[in-house]
Amino acid sequence: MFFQLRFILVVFFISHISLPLMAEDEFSFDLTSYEKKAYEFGGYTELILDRQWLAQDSAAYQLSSFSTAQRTILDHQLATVELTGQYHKSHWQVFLNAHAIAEHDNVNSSEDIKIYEGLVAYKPEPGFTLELGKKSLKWGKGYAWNPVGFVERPKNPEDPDDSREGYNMVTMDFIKSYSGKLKTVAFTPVYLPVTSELNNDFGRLNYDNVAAKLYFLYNDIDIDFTFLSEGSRSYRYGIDFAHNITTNFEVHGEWAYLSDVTKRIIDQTGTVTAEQIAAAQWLLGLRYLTENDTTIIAEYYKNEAGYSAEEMTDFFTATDSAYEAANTILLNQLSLISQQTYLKRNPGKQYLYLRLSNKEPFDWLYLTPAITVITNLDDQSYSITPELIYTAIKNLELRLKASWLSQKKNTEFGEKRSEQKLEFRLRYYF
Amino acid sequence: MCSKIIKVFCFFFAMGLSSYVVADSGEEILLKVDRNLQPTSYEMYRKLINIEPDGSKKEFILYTIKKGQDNMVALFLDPPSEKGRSTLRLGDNMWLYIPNVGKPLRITSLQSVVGGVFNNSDILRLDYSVEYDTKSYVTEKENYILELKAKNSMVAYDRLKMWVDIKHLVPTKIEAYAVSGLLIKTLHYSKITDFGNGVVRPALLQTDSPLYKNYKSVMLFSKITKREFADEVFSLNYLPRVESLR
Repeated sequence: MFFQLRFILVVFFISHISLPLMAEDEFSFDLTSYEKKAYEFGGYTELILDRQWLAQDSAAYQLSSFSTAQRTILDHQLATVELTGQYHKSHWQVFLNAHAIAEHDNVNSSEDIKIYEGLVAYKPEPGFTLELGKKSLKWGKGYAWNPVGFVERPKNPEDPDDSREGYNMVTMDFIKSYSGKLKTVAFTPVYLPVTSELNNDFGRLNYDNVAAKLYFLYNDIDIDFTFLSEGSRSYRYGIDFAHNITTNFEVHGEWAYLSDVTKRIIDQTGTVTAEQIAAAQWLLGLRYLTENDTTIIAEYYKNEAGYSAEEMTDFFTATDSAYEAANTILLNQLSLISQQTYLKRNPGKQYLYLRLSNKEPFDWLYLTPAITVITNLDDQSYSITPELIYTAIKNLELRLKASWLSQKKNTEFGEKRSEQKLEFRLRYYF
Repeated sequence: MCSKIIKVFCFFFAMGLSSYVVADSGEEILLKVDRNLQPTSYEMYRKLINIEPDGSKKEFILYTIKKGQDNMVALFLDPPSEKGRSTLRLGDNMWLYIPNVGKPLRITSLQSVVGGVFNNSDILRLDYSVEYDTKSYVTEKENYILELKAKNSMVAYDRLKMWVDIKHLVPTKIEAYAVSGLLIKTLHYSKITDFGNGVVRPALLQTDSPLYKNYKSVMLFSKITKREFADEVFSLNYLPRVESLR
């Protein structure tokens, strides 16, 4: 026993003494731990703690809380584990991305596990790939929005880098490279069936949907043509581009045409009507790096199918009236419809997105401050989100984020459920 | 006696002639430097170390492939937060692929995907002769000193001053300047190593910059191996699959 303890102490002592000795050869490079393996696993685990200061007179609050106890503060906790794994053999690859969450707030608790992606890929040569399974396709060049992303779930402009659940599909990828002004051509056809069992939240059931993307790198400009056939959704097509103007200045844009969109309108009395419209959605954006290392991302987004300031005001008026009259039937109806319409993310017609970030300014080691502003240009409401990201510890990322929403009544951000939010996120990669 | 004089004359003539023939132009020196630094098509592994002013380090492991003059891909193998990210360079075009984001985003040469003193053009560096013209050079002790000028405004540095080891024809030091004449950074190559198959070049690159006082970045090279790749590997659509080349 004594011998074992002494042995452990000696090993501990040697291992700790050896650290400074190893540090002398500070620039060594041992590749053995990076040899390729048939199996690979990775992912992250994350904890989010946030406090929201609720806006009790807002439409979103009234519709979510009319039947529950009133409160001014909501504390919310969210734990996430995202696990990715892959197996390679010859031309074959199996890939899996599982996403599990458990969340709790003052009112509700829930848990969920989803397979975000799970597919088999066959890659006989660099110019061809066949994939079968659940895949998260991401089309478009926009940072906050992607009008040409026809076969994907919408991204959250406040956290555009978050992973998203895919759809079950068959895709192929054909790539051909050339010399000259036209450097690359790539074609990506997609087959996406929708039944009651498969992809049932994509759109109308029992359709075989076909989509495609045709990519060119021509004259140093990325150009994509995208297309989705009539089926579960109306047919739509689009184009996007991206180009580096200078060594620190990039521009990009997207334009999409949706042949037939159902727009549900709620008037001041709460009456719901639906109209079918054809609409264009587009954006123009830039990314610029200043001399003091600040990255600026700016995007203007226009959605012809979005709600005007007047249409939004009508909906908020209807909600106010129903709430004051304690009309729970109408409140229930409005609550149900508004989640996919007036209260979804960015339901308006035009927006401006601006994000500034600077890595380690003023010699603040490991700190990246950033600020994001999203403005609804029709009703002049906005959200301002400053954040601090701290990365001093290997594989650990800490983020403190605050949000202030404009308080103007009958505007998009003024009618959100909370008027302020403070969020702490801890993410550990493995 | 006469034959001796002729021999001596012939020797000096030959010496003079040979030095005339052997002496390279600045462009030729730069081309040789490029070929000594990296084969035309190859794969390699790199470790990037960013050293913060407090002495702490951040390390990144990259698998890199290159084909021809201006096609290059770098895949992050470590740390886990960066694993799977890849960057592609085709001439003046650069993209970053982040698995979560799921699509390649255009990046610019002066940005840095790893932070620290190395920017994207350092990490995805093409042959010097592809981006720079040799304006002049002088010989000083064991070095050629080359003055290089960017071929166009899309090149990250407007001007380079390069010290080239005459014996190995590889750079030992490079100063990078902006259009304004401002020194942006200094690169120091060292630890000349035989990587096999005729690749003999520095295994260590250190850089510092007056713009990033007290910061330092280091690049270590390993397993530089000649290898041919299909052109299609250097495309946006292939970026998510670069790992399969290892």
